[in-house]
Amino acid sequence: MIRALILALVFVAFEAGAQSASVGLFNEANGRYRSGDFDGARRAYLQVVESGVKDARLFYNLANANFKSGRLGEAILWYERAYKLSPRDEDIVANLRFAHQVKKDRDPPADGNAVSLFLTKAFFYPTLSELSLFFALGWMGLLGLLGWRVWGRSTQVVWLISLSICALLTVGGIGWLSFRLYHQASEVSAIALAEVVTARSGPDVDQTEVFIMHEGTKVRVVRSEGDWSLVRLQNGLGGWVRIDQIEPI
Amino acid sequence: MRRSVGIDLRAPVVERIGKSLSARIITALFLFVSSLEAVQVEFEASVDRTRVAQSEALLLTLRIVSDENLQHMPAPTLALGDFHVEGPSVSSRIEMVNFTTSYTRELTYRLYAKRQGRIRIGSASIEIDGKTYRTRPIDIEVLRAGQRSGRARGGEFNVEDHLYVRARSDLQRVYVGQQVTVDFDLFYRFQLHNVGFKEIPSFAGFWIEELFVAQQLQASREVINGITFNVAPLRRVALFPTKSGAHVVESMAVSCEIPARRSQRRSMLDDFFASDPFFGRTQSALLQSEPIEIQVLPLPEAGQPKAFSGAVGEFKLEARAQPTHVKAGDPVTLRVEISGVGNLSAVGTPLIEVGEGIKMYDPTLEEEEKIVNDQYGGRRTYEYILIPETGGILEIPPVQFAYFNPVAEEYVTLQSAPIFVHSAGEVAAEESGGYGLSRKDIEAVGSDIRYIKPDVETLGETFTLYGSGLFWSVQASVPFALLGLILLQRHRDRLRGDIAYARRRRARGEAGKRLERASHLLEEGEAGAFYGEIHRAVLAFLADHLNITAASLSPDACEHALREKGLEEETIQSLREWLIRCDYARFAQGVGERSDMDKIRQEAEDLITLLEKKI
Repeated sequence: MIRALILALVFVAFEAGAQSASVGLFNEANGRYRSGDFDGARRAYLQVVESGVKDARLFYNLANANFKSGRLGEAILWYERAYKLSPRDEDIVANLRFAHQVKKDRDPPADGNAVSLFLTKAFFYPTLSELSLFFALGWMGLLGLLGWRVWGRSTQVVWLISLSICALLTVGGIGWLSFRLYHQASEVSAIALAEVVTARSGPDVDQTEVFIMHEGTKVRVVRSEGDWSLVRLQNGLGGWVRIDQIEPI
Repeated sequence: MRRSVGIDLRAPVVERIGKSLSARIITALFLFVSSLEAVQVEFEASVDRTRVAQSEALLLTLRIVSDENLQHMPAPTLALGDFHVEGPSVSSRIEMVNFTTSYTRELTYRLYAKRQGRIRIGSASIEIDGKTYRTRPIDIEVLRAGQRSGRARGGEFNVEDHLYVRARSDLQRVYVGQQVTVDFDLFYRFQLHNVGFKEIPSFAGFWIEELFVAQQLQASREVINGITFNVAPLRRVALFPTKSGAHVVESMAVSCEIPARRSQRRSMLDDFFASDPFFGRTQSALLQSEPIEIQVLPLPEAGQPKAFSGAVGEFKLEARAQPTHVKAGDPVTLRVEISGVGNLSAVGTPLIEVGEGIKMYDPTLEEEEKIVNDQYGGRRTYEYILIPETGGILEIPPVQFAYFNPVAEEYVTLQSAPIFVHSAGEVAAEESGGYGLSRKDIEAVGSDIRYIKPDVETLGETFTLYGSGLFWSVQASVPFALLGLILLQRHRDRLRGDIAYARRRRARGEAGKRLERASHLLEEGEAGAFYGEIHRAVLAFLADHLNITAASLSPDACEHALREKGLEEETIQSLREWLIRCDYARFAQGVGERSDMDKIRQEAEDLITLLEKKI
């Protein structure tokens, strides 16, 4: 028992140590960034990342350092990663948009009519945490109302209406959340890191070139074979690219 | 006064004379000579009847008879204030009797009485050659509907029963400025011709808005006292009293022509439209509505808001500024729209008190009248021009407008939301006696990414709700918590409501306490008390379990109840024996030894455990 406690304490202390080391490194990187040493800052940020910290602020600052040191592809990659963690952060959204505007390839227009585009946008609008919150509210409300019923303090109509709303929130919230989580797990997006990426019709250098894209373009990874990955652009155009030229978000 | 002049011989003389020039000259001389004499004039008034119904015409004839042909006949003066007057129609004739010529001029007035009762037609006067002639006054009697004039007596046909104008107001008691709608409807059962407004009331004391004026009769049918009438709206006016007190809406007079009566066969009158007895000739009739009295209350003094300007009705207020983002010095249009029903003309300019930094110009007014469901109203739009004189966010304070709601009988003050105008920059400073008005939009000269996040105290995984184990465990535990709560509630309810259940639940605990107490007594060597306590412990346990009073629980009753519960004979027997032993020991003072007491106590515990299991 005592041994376990000591072990736990040691672990916590170690964690705290690692934590303070990461924080120190992060703040040092910030200092380098401020003094204009973007490369140095980038390296320091990467070190923090390697220590296992997954913090949107860290990813954002790393992306900024990449951007300032001319690595547009990596900048977009890290902005995307930061966005995934904190989709309501205005700085992240703004810089991501800015970086997308700077890159060479214009984003191809998305497929589909106005309605389907709107629905897609609506589907992705709420963050996963917000959906979880909807669900939790509905769920608590639902159970609360059931309890309320057991205690017998409600009028029928109001109770039924509230129950329906809560049931809708619960089912809708959990359903939506599941779809989104499934989508997140099944859809792998990647950012082109090489300055020029040639997509071919098959996983081989001898295959016909299908399209050429540039650093920073976002693609969807369909599947991988050996050193090659089949990717698709937003408009549905697909091609095989070398796996080391792209980086999954 | 009248001269009798033979005319029989004169006429042929004139003819004869006219045939020759000389004869003409003689005639001229004759006329000349006669003109030198004083003119003989006769002036009299007559009526066709002295009893008349209000809707019927009374014919007043003024007859002027002179012995000379008067070149300039002045109009007679005559006061007819109590009547609606038509005419006069003028007829002249010349009579010659026994060489005497008389010139007769008749003026016939058609009179309709404005009121009922006895009316005196005052004397008429006329001045001829400096001499004034007067007629005698005439008294006439004006009858109500239902009564009857001259020829036909009561019970006979009566025009007013078949033809009348009704005035009706929707309200009799109103506030100053509140709309009261007055309807004038024509009720008739005849074929009518030439229906026209004879006199429109002046509506003194009211400000009026005409809602409807009939261009032609559009009748609907209505049954009144079993008689079918054609009812045609004639006029509808919205009246707005301008001052308080009792006001009278005077009667409206309508003239028309109805078919003249040919016979008095009453049997045919009941026919709808009474078409048979009336056809061919027409007679004119004048219909008058009854006056309406309207009580006008003053607006209450108490609680009159500052912004009140006299508007009565129900209004809405809307204020909009356009645009709300301007450069300083550019105009902003503030439109204040007051719409609703009521006396729109009393809607005053709303109060606006702009603060410093905004210059306001006098408003322009646009008015649009509208009548909805006979309610007069509409919209007044005031348009102000505001000029922000400084930069920043400037507030146009709430626009206030107050009106009196006569239905709720209270003052209502409307207030718009404050409007904020974002004014960019400063008004350009004065330059060489004039204002430079060449401001520009802010230009973006470069763009960059946003700056890095600041230094941190801690770093860690960005918290996400869906990724948190705690979040999901809370969600999962909620149903269990709820279930637990429900069960707890059930248990409490049962304890409250079900005494047997409550006693049973407590039985073991109570018994334990008694045994504890018994043990204490054992330690203290109180043998009697010990046996008593331990005896009570077992009996009370049984009583609680079986929900019977401990006092009524004798060993026999105990056995009986346990047998009913289906307990096996062996247990009952051992319980019985134990109780007897306990009783025995209790009353055989001093007999109890320590080991016996310990044993009996142990047995009591075993018994309770056993009974708890079995029952």
